[in-house]
Amino acid sequence: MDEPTLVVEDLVTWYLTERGPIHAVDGVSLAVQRGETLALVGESGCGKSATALSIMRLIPSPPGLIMSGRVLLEGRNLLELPEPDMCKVRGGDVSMIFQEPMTSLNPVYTVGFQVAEAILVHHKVSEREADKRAVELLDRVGIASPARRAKDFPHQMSGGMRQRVMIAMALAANPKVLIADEPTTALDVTIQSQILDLIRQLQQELNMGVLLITHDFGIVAEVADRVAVMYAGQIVEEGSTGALLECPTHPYTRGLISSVPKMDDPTGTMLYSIEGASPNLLDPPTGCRFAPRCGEARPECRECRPELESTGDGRRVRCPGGGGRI
Amino acid sequence: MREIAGRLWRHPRGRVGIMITAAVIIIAIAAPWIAPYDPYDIGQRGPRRLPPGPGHPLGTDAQGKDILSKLIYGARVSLIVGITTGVCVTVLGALLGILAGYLGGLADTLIMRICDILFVVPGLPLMILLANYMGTKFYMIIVIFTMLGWAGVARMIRSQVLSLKSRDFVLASRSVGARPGHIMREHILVSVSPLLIVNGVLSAAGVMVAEAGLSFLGFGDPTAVSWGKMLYEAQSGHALLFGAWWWVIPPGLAIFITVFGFMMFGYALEEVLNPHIPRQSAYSKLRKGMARYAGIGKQAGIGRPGGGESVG
Repeated sequence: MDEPTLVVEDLVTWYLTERGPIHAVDGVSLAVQRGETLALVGESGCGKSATALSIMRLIPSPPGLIMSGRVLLEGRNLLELPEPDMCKVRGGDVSMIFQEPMTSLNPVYTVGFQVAEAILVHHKVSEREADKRAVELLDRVGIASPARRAKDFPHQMSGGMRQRVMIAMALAANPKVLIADEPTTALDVTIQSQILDLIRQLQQELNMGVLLITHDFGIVAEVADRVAVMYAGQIVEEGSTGALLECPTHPYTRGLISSVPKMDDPTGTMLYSIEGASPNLLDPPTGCRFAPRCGEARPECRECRPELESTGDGRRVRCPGGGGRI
Repeated sequence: MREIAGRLWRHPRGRVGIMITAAVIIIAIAAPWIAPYDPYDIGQRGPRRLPPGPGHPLGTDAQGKDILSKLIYGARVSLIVGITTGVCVTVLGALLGILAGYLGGLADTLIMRICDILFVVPGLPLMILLANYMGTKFYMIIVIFTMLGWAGVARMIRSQVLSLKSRDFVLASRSVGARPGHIMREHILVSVSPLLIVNGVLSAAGVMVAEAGLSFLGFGDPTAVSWGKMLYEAQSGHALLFGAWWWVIPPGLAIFITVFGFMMFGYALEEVLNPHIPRQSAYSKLRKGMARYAGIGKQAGIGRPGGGESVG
């Protein structure tokens, strides 16, 4: 196996509030290789987006603060780069697309201008040349008659088209890693699969690593090579998509997968849902963070802090019960 | 740009504003050719306190100077002081407001504390004091007004920037590697520019009144011919005691009309540039309603939701 392009080691990000620090990201480690898609899955507020923004060093500060850890892009620690160098990395080596294509484009500029802007930030080319390349990029992300649509303003485009424009902007400098933060959540289902297909196709063409943040196991099954499940700021389980979906080890992962509605569920049955709510990250539980909601928790689960342990086959799990007790 | 100008012209108050403003500017520029006498010429003397009549359409003052000529030349001082200060206040306020809002931290604290100080400084006494010590050349008035005026603009712009910088498109721009300078210029400044333009026009109007006020109190440039100074001379020359109404009314009216024109221009501009402000007179509402009722709305291009009013 090659050396991974993007490696995150023990990333810790806090939100400093008046009531104390919120441990939004608490020791996350992950790795993405070129051409590979890693899905980061978890419920709202578990720290998925905070992880992504920390990697890009776009976490709003204050109140956000990256406390420790390393983000290595081909061996270079992004967290130690001076800000001007980081600007070159953003959009250059690592790009990010966001959940809300409706508001992520500036309403006062044409989309062509905004794609050209992303090109001009990273390449010393004339504006005319940048406009030309912008049209090529719009063509590449599947926008019909790109030369004409480049002159459109964002409000003249549908959500799916705008997300394509966002992707074009993200690809302006051929990044090595693309972070997609819920790229299809705001889109309807047919557009969703088109956008996912597009990301997958561009990933193969450009040999990019993709970190896909989502809460939708349907998307995970469709596009991810590997999955990392996050709960309360920590990764609780990681493994290849097939293995993890077929036999989830961690009780939380099992709960998540059980709560996805299935076509062959008998009519009239209640959809499964995990009891309780995610813990307050101002004061997380001392032991396993999932223990208060876990149906299989034993007394020691509430005391010892479990580590993310390898269980072979490239799988890791953070469960004091050792997982596997099915 | 042409579209905005067109909509401004169709706006009733906008048209009045444009016409008054344009007329005053033309008069100011063409003053040497249209004024019957040169008010800066000390030798020009006519009969004193002459009522309006042939030769002196608006009569003369206590020194026998032609009032119409003074009025025409006075437009120059008002406009130069008003427009220059409007521009300076806007530029300085925008620069510091954007820096404070976008950078935050120490820069924000520093700039906003200076604003706080400027807000509690009593404006008029300070202006009088400064005008006395720093000389009464009229460019000093511009400097003083700019120094005192930028704080309001900066604070207003800062609050806008605070909301703008958390917008998704700013985050998206940062995520493709745009630098702070680029974002402030291309995204923030462009977004607040309608506000700046409107505010610049309105503060120009305000400064013209303030300049007239200072001159009226006798702190204006003694060598310049301005409307405020004409009022000052009329007052100190006991114009009303002599019944010389032609000496008092024209400069007062000139100040009023010019400021009124700028205000109309500014408010109309605000409504044209900011589509969130409903811009409908009772008349146009009635017309729209009737057009829709009669089914001719589509044909006339009115009565459709948002028809012809979106910013593009």
